[in-house]
Amino acid sequence: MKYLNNTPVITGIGIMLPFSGKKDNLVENVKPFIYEDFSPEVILGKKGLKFKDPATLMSLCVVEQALKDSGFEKEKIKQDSNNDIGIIVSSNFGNIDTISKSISIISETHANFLSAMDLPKASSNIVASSIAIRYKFRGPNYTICNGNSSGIDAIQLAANTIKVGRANKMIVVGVEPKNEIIEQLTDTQRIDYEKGESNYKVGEGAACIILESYLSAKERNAKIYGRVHSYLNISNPCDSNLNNKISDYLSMIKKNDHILMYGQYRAFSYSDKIMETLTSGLEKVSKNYSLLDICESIGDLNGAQGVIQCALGALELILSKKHPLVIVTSGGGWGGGFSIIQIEEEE
Amino acid sequence: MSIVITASSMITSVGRNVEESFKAMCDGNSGLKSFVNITPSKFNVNKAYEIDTNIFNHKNQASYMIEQVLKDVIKDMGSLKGKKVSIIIGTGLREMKRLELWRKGQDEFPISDSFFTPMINSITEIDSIYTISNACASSLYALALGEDLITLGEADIVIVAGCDLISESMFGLLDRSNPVKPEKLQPFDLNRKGVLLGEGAAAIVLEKKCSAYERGQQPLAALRAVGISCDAFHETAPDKNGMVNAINNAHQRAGVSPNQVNLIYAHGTGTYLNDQTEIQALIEVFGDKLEYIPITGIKSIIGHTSGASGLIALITAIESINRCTIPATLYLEELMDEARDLNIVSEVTRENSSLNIVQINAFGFGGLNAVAIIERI
Repeated sequence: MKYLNNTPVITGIGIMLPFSGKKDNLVENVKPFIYEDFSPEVILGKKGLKFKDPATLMSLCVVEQALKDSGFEKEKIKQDSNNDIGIIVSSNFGNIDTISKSISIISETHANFLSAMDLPKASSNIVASSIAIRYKFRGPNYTICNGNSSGIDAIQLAANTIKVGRANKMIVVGVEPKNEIIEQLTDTQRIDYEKGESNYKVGEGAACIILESYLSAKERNAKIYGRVHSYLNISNPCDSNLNNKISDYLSMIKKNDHILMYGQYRAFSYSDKIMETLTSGLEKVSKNYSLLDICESIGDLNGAQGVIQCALGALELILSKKHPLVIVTSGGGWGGGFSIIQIEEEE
Repeated sequence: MSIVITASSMITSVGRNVEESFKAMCDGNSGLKSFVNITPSKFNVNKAYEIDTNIFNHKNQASYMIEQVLKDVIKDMGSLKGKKVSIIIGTGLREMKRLELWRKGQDEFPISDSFFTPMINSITEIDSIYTISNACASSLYALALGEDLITLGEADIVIVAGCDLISESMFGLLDRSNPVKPEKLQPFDLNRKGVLLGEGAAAIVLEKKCSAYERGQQPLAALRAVGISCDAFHETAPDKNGMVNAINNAHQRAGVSPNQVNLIYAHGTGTYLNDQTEIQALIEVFGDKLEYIPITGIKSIIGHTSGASGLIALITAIESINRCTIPATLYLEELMDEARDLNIVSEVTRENSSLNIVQINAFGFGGLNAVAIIERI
């Protein structure tokens, strides 16, 4: 289809996956983005990194990568006129470490022993604000913490922000750190994993997608990966009308030579039921489809998952000769919503 | 296209619902008290605007508060048949209070309780649910998202909610960072000493005007627009230009000029920097006209309810419009220099002429700015 001026298109990506486990089982297309030793100074330089938490550092790295990838000129960044560049960050666990550390200090001693440098980090929007401050992006600035459909939800809300004219570029970031607090919070899932009943294990990582209005991308001759469209959010994974919703969604997909679907399997029983319905429905749309689960080897990526998968899917559009339709799915974990979105090349 | 607000609900430290809260605000009854649920020995400041759990027991759960305000607006919503309905929640501190209790060994904290979707699914059938965490601007940013969903046709009805309880980590970090210890929250006072946190929850129902009349719902007020911006300046300190951008964005999107605004519900946190910067921003936008516009700061009455503050102020503004009454800014002893010529409401004011267009400000940590413009129906 022909793009309209305000059609949101992807013009840049960045991905960072700190991972120190065995690489043999890693899905091929994540391998280029694995960082065994995460050193933000290499990507960001040394200035302005002190006191920043891991989620913020990972996010700044992937934003830097994505801005370079999008060809957005360095001299235009940090200008005063960046009112039309916004940011949305998806993260559920981003600042849990700061909260936990602070409450421990208060409980054991007194508020006087807290570090005043931790005050900004006690607010969940610290990642989004830090990106804005570094690059002087003064447009809409959101942090979404919507369970593990959050990453895809962030992309859709960013697309809406462009379509309604509040911004012409949106920096979309998904980030989740890994730490002892998160491991404890997800303990029941780990037990299922050890019993062989689940694929769930905690992962960490970040990705950035630059969404831009088609007009803005064309005006600066930017590389376009594809457009995002056909978002569906099922807020209740036990929705009695689930099968009809999925069936209606799949009926809108035109026949395609190749479909690549990203999803997560055997980590959450709710999302497995939805994935099963989706997969069997896909059979009727195309005999030629592939399913890709990046979480099986690198761990659950929660709020970052949707953005990481979309970034990988966007890359696939450029690298693959098969011109696939990319469908990205995420969610259903811990009773949360489930979201789907598509990425497709311009015809 | 006209978007209207057709239901509202709120819980504050001075009232369990809109009626109680607004009456208490107009009577000048403050929610300020010595700690109810917080351990005094751990902090320098021992006062806050907590909700007294003997009067309303929130069980230390933000989701419980949200459940109550959602149920309150949903019960009067009438038929939703054939309508696409979304819920958007804005919260600065999410369920961090419960996380803290878990870390102290005083409560369990299953992950399904760490976000609001499972609770909402248990009380109603809804097409989509979003939670955003945008510091003190959370609930007005949520309102902007809701406005956009309706404008784009992605939802017919949006329930926008906001909620925050006081987390000890945030209280402690503010306590640690402020060298002067406030005894009360004094917006725009010369001797203001800083912010004091409060607790509260709020919800409204947004839909197109035609949809409201079709469903037999009487609008409470119209939402003209929400303007949003980010300072991109500092992690905690405000920036005048960012505030000006958000106010101008709101006016431009609403199609109003500054001299059409009849009343301003200020963000007014009682900090040296916010209050000074906010007044400077208002002077830049409104110029000489600002002297004639009443400005009030209800955080003096209910504390700074963090992410819920914008929506609580908006609901209070709707009551002001419909009851022609403006609650006063409490604890105003001597106006700060920058506000001396301005009309900061210091006594409850009953307006003879109509309040038509009201502006509500919300400015949050990280430089997040959201300004809503509402109108009498």
